[in-house]
Amino acid sequence: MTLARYGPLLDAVRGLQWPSRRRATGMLPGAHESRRRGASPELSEYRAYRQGDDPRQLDWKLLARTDRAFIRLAEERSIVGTIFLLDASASMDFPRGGGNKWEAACALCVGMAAIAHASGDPVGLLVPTASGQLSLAPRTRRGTVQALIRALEQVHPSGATPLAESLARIGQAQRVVVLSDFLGDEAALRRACQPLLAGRREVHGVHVVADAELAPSLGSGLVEDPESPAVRRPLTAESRAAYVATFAAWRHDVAHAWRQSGAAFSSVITSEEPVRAIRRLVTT
Amino acid sequence: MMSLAAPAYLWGALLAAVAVTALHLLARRERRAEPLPTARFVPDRVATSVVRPDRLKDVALLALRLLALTLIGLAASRPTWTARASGTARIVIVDRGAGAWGPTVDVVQQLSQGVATSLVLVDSSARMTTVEQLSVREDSLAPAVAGSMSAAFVLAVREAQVLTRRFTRVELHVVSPMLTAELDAATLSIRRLWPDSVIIHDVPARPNESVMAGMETILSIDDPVGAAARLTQPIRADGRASIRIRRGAPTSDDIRWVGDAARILLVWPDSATTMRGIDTLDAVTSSTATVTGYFRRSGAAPIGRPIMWWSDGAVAAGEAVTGQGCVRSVAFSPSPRGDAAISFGVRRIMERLLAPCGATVLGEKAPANARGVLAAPGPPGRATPVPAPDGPRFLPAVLLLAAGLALLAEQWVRRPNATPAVRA
Repeated sequence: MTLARYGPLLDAVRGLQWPSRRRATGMLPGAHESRRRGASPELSEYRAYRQGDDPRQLDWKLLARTDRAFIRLAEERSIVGTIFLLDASASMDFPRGGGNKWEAACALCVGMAAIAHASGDPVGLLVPTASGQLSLAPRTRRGTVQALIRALEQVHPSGATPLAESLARIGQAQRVVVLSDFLGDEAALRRACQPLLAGRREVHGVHVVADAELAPSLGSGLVEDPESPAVRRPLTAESRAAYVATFAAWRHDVAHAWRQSGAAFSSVITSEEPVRAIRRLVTT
Repeated sequence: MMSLAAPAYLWGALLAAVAVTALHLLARRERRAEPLPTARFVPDRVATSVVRPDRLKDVALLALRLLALTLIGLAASRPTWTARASGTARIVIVDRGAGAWGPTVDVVQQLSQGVATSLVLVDSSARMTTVEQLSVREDSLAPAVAGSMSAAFVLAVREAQVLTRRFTRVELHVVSPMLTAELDAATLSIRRLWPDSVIIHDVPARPNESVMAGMETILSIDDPVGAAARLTQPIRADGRASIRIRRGAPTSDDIRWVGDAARILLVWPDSATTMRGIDTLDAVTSSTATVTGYFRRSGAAPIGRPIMWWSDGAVAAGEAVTGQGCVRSVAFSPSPRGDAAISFGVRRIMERLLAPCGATVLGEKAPANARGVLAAPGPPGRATPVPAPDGPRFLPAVLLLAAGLALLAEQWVRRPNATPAVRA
């Protein structure tokens, strides 16, 4: 992947907004609705002055005209720190060659990061790999998206590194986006997200699915899990039908479980246009 | 033309190749597993189901294995490369040691005209030569010697193994007077190695070199030595005899006499000291004969080069060169009793003692029946001489090396195709 490769994608997502699903708790002004009410120029409502209110928020002109003290309230907007947790296990390198799940996840990550960064949100990256964890702290300065792209270029999916442990390193990021096929430690990852959700943070689960996983070809008739070579199963016409049903049920269960836990959950197929998928993800 | 010394190995290798081909065709291999991250959702059944290939696969692998097997079998069968044979060749055993030189060369030249001829020259040894070398050789001046026909036959059979590569028929000719001294106990057995008949060309033997210009004796009239000597050499009383026989120590006149010309002084022990009490059988042997009888050993050892020995190896007679002649001293005497002194054996002994100085006595011709046995064809069913290989002797090694290379190539071809699948 190169920077030039993402050029059309970055052009296509320019202007898109990715509003936070929950009111932001950040202090710095940004593009997302904040839980705080402040003195921003955008008027929201008047409220009678109560003891303890900041006298600077008094509408002095209204007080002079009506001799009643009112507080001028305005909608506060703040930033939402966003961090992307990418699954770089061996299962993401499927199908072999171009158009695999890893490339689709990278495209989604870059596009969504560009949208968030354009809104002034800090954007960070976490990629646990077999050789260590690739980490990019959330930042808002220029070139962050390019740095994220360069960081992703260094990663080749391999091994079976769990994702749940990496959630402890997300810091104060308000929004966590997990891009994975959830074939690893999905249950542990979901449990690790529970404290984040309880802390009113926003968790997005993006399930990346390959077309070849939805409808695998019979091929040689024997398939094997790249992360667990011991798992070797004969794939025949009849076993494929059972596989398709089982896999669909599992995907449904996973989506249901994540949504039940309070996270946003979406599935993306590798054959889907990244721009279309990103539009769908940021608007749901 | 390739011939195999042990073709059974090649047949065995071909059978093994057939078996390998059958196994290759019957081999049922497990399908190659393809990666699928969601393989866990495929129903877990027996993953070792196998299918038979519907067409021949790994042709190069099979070809290399068959090639290696065939080469190993071919190398084990000891192949030899021989040229295509045609025509007739002759092997001529030339008895240079005993045969008269002129007639021998004439016969050899007649035999070698228009036919490829190999010559086995026999004298004190047997060796190969050519007709050209035979013609220029001054063999008439060489000393007469009774060669070994056994050695000549061995060399002829060996040469025949070489010639049968190029000729369909090989004849064996012997140009020799065929003396008894040239035959030994092994001659007939060695001759049987030749499956065909042997053509013997009889040539006269070398002239009898033991003929001297008479003798004079200084012996008593009843001395048995004198009787035996007279059967071999005539008595010459004109003072021009070339052999003098005496008993007892030689005088200075004898020494001077023998040194003036090519003469022989034969000195026998004194009869007074040797003729008493002869009661023990003993044997005396020379290069041509062995005789047993009542001999009494002399106390004095013979002088010069030994020419006769007792049965226990002690020297019985010696020859010492004196001037142009030689003195032969004898350490025994024949018994005076009966006709032992004129027996055949004593006469042969006497012929050796009266032979010219340094000469060899060739002996007599072999009996006619012995010559017939040698000339007759070999026993029926005996194989012809096996052609000797004229190709590279290292052909099996080359084949084994090629087989090794094929096996290495087989490893190289198999490695890219290596899969965790196992053959059923």
